[in-house]
Amino acid sequence: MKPAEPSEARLPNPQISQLRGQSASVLIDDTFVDDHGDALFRYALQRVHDQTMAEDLVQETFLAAIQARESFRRESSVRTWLISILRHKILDHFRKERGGVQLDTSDHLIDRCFDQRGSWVHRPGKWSVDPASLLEEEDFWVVFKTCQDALPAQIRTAFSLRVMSEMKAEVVCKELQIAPTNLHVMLHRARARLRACLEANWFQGKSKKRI
Amino acid sequence: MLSCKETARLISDGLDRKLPLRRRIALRLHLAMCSGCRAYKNQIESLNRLFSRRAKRELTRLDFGSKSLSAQARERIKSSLREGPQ
Repeated sequence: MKPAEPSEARLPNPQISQLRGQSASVLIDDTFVDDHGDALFRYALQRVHDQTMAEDLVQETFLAAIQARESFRRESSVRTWLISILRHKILDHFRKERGGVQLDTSDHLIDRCFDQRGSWVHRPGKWSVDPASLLEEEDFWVVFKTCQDALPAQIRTAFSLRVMSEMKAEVVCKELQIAPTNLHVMLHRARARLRACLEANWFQGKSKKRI
Repeated sequence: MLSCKETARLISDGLDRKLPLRRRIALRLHLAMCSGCRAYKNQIESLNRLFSRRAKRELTRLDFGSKSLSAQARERIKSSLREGPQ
């Protein structure tokens, strides 16, 4: 299907005219979708790892925005308001997806790093690249995305909410209805696995190149 | 005496909650003697800082990027908005 021409897209229809009449609320029409749709999609895609799901979440966000348009306050930007609705939609999605899955008692990938006494099999050494220098290094973030996608689903969810969406630990526990201890275990596993994956696929390669 | 395995767990926990005093002391003792865990702590903490800086940066860059809604999805969303919430 061809995207609608802008002029056609902006034709008023009964419902939009009705929204226009309500001066206090935001106008949610085709232009609004063009202005914010891609941004919301990118935000969702970073968190749910499935294009169709990300599209559905964007659609749900716009629909919820129509219903909640009276709650929009001028002091926040429309974008911030939409992102906060989207964050709730993402949480709902994770809650449904979680559906009673039990947390594994151990993580073999982490267990393998330690001997029977709990000491490192390969003691971590200093990296030659400082992670702080990698904020704009897009190749690194491609590797990061691969490592993040390789995390077991449950752990990925916890990491995505707590670290990449900067939610407080208490909020994540409450929203996902899990005990704090379980969240701590999940985050520990996510961080340890990401560190190992990034070390193998980025930091070690970099240090070899420099030698 | 903490093992390295327990230490790794506490290093992560420390990023999400304030550890009880006794754990903090045990952690400090272990770190003082174990260069492997010191390196690990350094890496976990600097990666964590990097991730959160990236997350903040992402919010200001949402208008730029190669990924975008497909034409089909865009149309579907627009028509669902015209119909209104079910």
